[in-house]
Amino acid sequence: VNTASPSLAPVEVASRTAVRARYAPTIEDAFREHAGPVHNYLRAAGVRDSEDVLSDVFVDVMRGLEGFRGDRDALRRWIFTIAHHRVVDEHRRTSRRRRFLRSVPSEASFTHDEPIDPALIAALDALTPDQREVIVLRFVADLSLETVATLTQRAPGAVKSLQHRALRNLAVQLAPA
Amino acid sequence: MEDEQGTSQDEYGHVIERLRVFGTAPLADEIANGALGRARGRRARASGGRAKWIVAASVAGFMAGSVGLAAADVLPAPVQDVAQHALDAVGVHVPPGHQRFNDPATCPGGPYANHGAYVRAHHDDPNAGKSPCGKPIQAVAPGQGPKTDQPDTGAHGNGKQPHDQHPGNSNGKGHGNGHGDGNGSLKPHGQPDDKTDANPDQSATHESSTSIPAPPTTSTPATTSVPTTTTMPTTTTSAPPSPTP
Repeated sequence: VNTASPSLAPVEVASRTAVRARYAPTIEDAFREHAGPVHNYLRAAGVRDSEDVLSDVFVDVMRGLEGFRGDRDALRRWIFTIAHHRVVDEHRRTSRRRRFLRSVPSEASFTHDEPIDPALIAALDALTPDQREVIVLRFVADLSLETVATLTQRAPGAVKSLQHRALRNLAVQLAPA
Repeated sequence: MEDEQGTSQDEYGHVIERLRVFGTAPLADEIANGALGRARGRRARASGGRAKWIVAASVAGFMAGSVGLAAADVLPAPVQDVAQHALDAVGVHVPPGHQRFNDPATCPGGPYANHGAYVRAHHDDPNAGKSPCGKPIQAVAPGQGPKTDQPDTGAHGNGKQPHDQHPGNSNGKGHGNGHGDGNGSLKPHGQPDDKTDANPDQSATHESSTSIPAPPTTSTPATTSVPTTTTMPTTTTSAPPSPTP
């Protein structure tokens, strides 16, 4: 019996190479690459305990990373989708808590100790929640208009409109006195 | 000037640049290490907690199901016996699987959990093995241990009752043929009628011989004015009509 390994056809070799080249990041890779932007996004979105929520986001990433299929951009979109859902949950929770305990101060008063750009955070605090959501996803998370529209369940035109008004308001807020 | 992404680079370029710089700021090492460590810890706790919850729920479901089945008395008799003993120890009373023959007159020193217990208790008695004591009532021969003599400790539907202990069954059908349903004019003499099947007196007579099925009747009418010689109703339908005089 001839036990020599049969030669592989070119197509088979190509498909094996493609399988080997599939983007399969570990949790460390994902964290190293995206933890910083996600944390900045959480702070810009006005999340009070951003480090805690960052941990929650990466717990979800750990759960789903084995089943992830896609490239580097898809991973980024997926992680920011998780982060966005966490932000929405956090805002709902804070809102309920504030309704229940009227003495709890608003979120804005917690974010003025921002080490990087406190003026920017203060200007973002002055936006409406919709404007802030769109502008932070568009430029802090650096997602495309279409992705933001999908994430926020709005039409691209509505996102563009919110983005324009938010930029105008931020420009006014950040203009030198 | 707006591009297709709705970005007004000319008018608000400095604002967009400031937002992007904020978004790309590096994460402090202590925050990174703390967040990843916390995430790993939460993941491990979540997995362990879920596994514990699944095990606890499975055990609780099995216990509830077992107790429920035992209480409903639908388990096989040996399993029901085991469940009865186990649950009795914790104060839950469920019916036993077998109702044992433990007539105080016949089985002194009882009640016995099973026949083996009786034999062990009476090892001096050479006839102990033949005694019905401790046997399931269903297994006791009719002459040795009438079921009706036993105190009724609960409804136990395991097994069939002995055939001769059926209460009066007034339906005589199935024992023999020749009922001749629907063709009374061709019914031979001596065959039971449908009306007499429901007669309690006749059914009682019939009941006394239920252990032996009645043989099929082949009697022929004494006066054979009708040219049929069989008692089966099916043959009467195909019988030729009576010749007209």
